[in-house]
Amino acid sequence: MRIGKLLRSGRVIFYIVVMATAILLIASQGIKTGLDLSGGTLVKLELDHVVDDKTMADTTRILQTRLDTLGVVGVVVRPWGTDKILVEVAGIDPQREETVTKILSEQGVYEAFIDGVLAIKGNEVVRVDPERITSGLSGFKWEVPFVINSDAGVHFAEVSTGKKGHPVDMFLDRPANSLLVVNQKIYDVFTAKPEDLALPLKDRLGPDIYFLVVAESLTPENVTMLESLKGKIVKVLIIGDDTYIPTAAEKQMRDMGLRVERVVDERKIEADKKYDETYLRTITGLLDSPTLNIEKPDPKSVEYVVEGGARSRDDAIQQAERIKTILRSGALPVATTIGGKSVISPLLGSEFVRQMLIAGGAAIIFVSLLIAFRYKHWNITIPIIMTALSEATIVLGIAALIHWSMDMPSIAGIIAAIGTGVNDQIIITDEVLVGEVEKDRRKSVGKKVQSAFFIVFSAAATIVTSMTPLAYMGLGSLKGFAITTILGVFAGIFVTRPAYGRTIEFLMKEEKKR
Amino acid sequence: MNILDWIVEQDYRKLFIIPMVLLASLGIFLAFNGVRLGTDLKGGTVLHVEDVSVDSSKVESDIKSLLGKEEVTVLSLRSVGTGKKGMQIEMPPLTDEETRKVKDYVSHEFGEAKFSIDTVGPALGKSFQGEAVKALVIAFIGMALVIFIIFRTFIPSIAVIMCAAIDIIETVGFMSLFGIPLSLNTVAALLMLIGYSVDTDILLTTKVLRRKLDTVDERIKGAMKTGLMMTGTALVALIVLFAVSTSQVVEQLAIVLIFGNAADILNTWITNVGLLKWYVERGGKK
Repeated sequence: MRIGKLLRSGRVIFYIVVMATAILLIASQGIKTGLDLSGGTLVKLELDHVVDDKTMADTTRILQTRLDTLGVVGVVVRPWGTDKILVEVAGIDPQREETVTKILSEQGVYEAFIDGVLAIKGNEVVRVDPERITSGLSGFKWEVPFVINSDAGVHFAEVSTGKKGHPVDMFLDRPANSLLVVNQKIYDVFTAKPEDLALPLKDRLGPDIYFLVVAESLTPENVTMLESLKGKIVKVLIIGDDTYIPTAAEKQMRDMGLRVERVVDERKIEADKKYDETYLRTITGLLDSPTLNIEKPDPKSVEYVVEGGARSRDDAIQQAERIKTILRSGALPVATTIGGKSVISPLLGSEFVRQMLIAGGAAIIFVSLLIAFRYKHWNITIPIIMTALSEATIVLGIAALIHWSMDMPSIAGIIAAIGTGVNDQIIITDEVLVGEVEKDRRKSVGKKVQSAFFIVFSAAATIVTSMTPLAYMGLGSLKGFAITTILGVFAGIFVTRPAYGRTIEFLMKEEKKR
Repeated sequence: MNILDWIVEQDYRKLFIIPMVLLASLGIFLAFNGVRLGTDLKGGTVLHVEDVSVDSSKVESDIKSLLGKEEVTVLSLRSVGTGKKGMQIEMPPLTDEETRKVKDYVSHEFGEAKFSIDTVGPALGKSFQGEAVKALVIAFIGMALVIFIIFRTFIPSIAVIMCAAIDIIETVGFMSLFGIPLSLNTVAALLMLIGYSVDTDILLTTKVLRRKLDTVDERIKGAMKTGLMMTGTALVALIVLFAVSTSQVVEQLAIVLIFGNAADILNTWITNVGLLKWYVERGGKK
């Protein structure tokens, strides 16, 4: 066998390189599966109307910011077409689902505090202007100008007088009128004095947030305090899981008729780290604390600027965008409603994947048998099947590269692509073989492969043309299908089909020589 | 005598009757019966449970009384290939509260089950409907354009496009007949069908119009050998898929494509062949 000659063909080398890359990518990046396969909760949000890319990006960012700040870990918000948003929540815990649903269906509340005194409320912000980015010696400076109403201007001047250098604490969805139940360790973090002019965090949260330190269970003093707070608070937030606050205490409070929620955060506080910002932010909704930079505020002024610095332009833009989001109270540029919800148990997801693998394997075996029966040659059957598998591998490789999550429609797309791939292989093979036995002897094998390619290309062009609009049209639900189909067809046309053509040419020439 | 020889030698005007009768009967049935919309297109809640054996009438009456709603259907599913069982409960769109009730009932009856719950509000369903129709129309137009560009002759191009259209009409008619709902998944199947359908038609048309060797009948026979093999492999794969899966999604996708491909055999090798022969015999003029 002069197999070496085949392996030196450019098309075959290209195929081998692409395949190796795809396999490496899959091995290193892994394939992300959509929640419909891995299990989880999907919330489908409908926008009021079709929006442009910018508005879509703003909307998803605001939702993501709100979910992140409220401590819901592992939620991904992504655009789904041009008038829908998909919120993917890992896991199927009903409590989490409820929290997410609540956040998604409520308007956010913005508040700014200076040393624990309310300075600006979200509804006082009249306008937020586009950010300004300027480059300076030490990097990039960003500014977000905003306008508040005149009453608020007077109030802000009052509160901020003499506070230059103090932080302005910007909260989104601060847990107002609530009692935070914490253990000693977390309480220490809340009361730790930062190095700058700022007060300990506990004293910056506003007067309507109370603290209770609990060790094992509630002491009689605790109970008295809770009783006295009853009309003042709307809910009790227990911070941390049961290694922080035992369930016994939780039960006691529930029995007292209090509305109790547990805030569990996967990020734990390190013992030696006194001031763990992310953790505190999560609990209190504190998003940012720019420093006040005004000596003597003018009560008549209604225009203010939040500013900051960053090393790169991208960072500056990102930080400014974040501040804009906060100042707008997380108000969405377009109204949304929850249009639908799916809960898929992880067990079902893996069962489905298992079934697909079995079905795929069985389909390959039966299709191979049929092809082998038709051509009576394993050295034709094997390349045909290998080509089909290669196309699936290449599509998965690309999916791994661009971190595309494989959901059910995407898998259907791969199946569609493989199907047309096998069809193309059959066309090429027949073109070469039939000519062999019948009159078309004068035509060289290469010519025959070429004429088969006319049909193959035409078929591919039809599929790609009909699927491309689907991939771009903002059809959320069928996009994955269209994209994997197109990728599969391209993988076939540019990589595997040429290699297969060369292989079959080679095999036929070998046959002739014998 | 070879079956292919026999078919090719028949008077195609007589053979035409078969696909036309099928088209007319399925078309008329579809026109009167319409096609059922899946819950994702009309709105509703579907609970799917895997790996359980159920008494569907008991579950149905339990859930009806639980929700106080009459529009509850329970289907028990069974995989032909693996013997695995499952259940699917279709309900009108439920609120979170109602969903929880049903979920609690299911976990109480069947333990820690492999399940999924899918709720689509009526408005979202409407929006999906729009997407589905748009997708089909656009894919079809895209296909038609490319076909015209490839062949640049009117009648052969129209023949290919017509065959794809007939495939789709017949397949939707079949769905109507067997109560298979039109859902996002079956729409995906219909989109695939457009691709599979034109594959064989392009093969046929290219061979007949672009090759000069052999008689027209011989060229048709050659194309038919290849084309039947193509459709055959697709059918084998789909039948396996249908037999192995207990997932309603996969089963519906597979069964729709099985029928679609079967319809395509008739339409390519009788309807399209007939039209092409007629075109060539008239001297290949437009």
